Amino acid sequence: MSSSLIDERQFSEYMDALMQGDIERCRGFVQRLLDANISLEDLYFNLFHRSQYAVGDLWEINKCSVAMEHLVTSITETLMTLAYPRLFNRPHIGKTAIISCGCNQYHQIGGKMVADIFELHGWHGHFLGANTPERQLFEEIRDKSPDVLAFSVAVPFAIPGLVETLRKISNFYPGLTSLVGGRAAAIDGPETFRNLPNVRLMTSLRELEEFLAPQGGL
Amino acid sequence: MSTDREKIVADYVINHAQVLVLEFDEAGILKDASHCAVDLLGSVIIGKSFRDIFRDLPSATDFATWISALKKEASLDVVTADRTPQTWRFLTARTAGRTLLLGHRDVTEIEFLQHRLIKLNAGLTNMTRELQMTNAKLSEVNNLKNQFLGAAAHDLRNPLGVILNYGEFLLDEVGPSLTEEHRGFISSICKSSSFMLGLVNNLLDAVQIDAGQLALNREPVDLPKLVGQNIALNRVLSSKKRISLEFVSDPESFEVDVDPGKIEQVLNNLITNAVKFSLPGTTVRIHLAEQSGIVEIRVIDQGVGIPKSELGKLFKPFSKTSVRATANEPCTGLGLAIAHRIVEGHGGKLTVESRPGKGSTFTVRFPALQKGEGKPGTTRQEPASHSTSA
Repeated sequence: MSSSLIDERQFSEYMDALMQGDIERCRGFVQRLLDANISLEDLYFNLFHRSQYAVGDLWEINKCSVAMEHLVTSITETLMTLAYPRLFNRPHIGKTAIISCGCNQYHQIGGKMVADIFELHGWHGHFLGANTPERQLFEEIRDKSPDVLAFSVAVPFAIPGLVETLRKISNFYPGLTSLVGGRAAAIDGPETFRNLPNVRLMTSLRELEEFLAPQGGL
Repeated sequence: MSTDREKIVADYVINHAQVLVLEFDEAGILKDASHCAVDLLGSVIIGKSFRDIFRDLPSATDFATWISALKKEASLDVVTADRTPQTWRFLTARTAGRTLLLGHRDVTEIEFLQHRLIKLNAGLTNMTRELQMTNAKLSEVNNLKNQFLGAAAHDLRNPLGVILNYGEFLLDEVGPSLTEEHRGFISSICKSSSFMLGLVNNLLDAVQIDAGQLALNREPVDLPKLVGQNIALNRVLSSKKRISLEFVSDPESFEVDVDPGKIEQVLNNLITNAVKFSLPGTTVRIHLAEQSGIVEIRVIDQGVGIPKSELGKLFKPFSKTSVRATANEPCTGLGLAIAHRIVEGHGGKLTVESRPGKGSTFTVRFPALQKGEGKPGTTRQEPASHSTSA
């Protein structure tokens, strides 16, 4: 990706506003970037994704409470909607992905970002939201005939349930590839997922980008 | 706990902790309060009755009865300094003739509400995403529709033109040698193909406008001259129905920066509509004025008028009112929608006022660029009532 419109000073200012829960300041920051015609890739990778991971790191070392982490995530999700008018008006390449967070998983922002990355590459990215029941997932696969599935795993305890779901998908739809990503997948589950049939582990959004690029993205 | 430690802890609770410590006398008057309570409830609460501090109390109860009825730990709503209610969990205790109410926030409820809010926000952002996806798909479908309509109209235009031209040629060249019945057939062919050609042209215009392709070729135009010429052409149609066209311009000559072809399209539409919906023997008046940098064109008929309830859809494509043309002339339902967009493209507005049985007035207003000096003309008449804007 070419150089970012967001330098370190600006990123610090944004993080400061974010950690204070000042949504209006954050909204103004993002809107100014959109008005300056920032590429959506730059916005997603160098602001939304980077700030979420920064907050996640702070939470892991007890510098940020659960409540604050939830608030920050909520703000980020709201600000992502500012990019939607541009995101969904891009031409499509005729491919479809279904993105899910899996059953009993309530951390949806990672999955939503992945769905938006698919859209950036000209795919139709259908995001099923948090806590997708397995039955609904299979109905969506049946109805939309996706070219690929993607699962976001934010917490380790969700891994066993997801593994079961992936095995079922592999039985019902042998040719269908499932991508698995998220913090928990990358840290706690690499061996687990690498041994499953038709499953590819994506340890980062960059890896997802590399997977999508040869598919005929924009 | 030693007395010193008790004092330190008590001092901390009273002055720093996020707890409400309220000390009431026998009559229920607040005698002392913790720092947090004063911050929350306001500095004037000392000396207030318990009724001024707690909400939703039984009306006839005195303080002693109320306290004895309270459970040892109870949720009570307090009235904050900014007049918003908050729910706190209170313990009651009695000491030395005073009643203490010790309050803390029910964190469980706050956490629950916080989770609910965050979940609702997540749901809302998901819905926003779906909505934007749907909007994008609808926009794509709309573009495809416009492309299809444009292509279809384009392909129809040439053959229709051929039919009309040959029909008119036959009428002119061999018509005199045909029977009246056969002349009638060819005349019907010409009328129908002329109508269809008009419809196809309107459709093409509507598609282009809808696709944002209204291209205006503005140039300085003597507007009174343009309008006068257009009215002269329309008199051919109006005279067949014995409808007079009267034209007044004030000033009699002035220039404005417009697309002459598109303005003629608007005039044709408004004047032919006025003639269509007027009865024989009536007059259609066209008033043109320029004042303070605004051009105004009014087409005033004495026709059948339009019901007030139908005025709102007048400028929508393909919408037709319940009113029928007086000689059953056909209507495409596109003309006014196109006229409206052309006027908007000139930075103006097209409005209508109408009364059933009395007639209608269509008014075009747009900014003018006047070159040269105008001359004074006659005063225009007042329009009918029941106005509505496009």
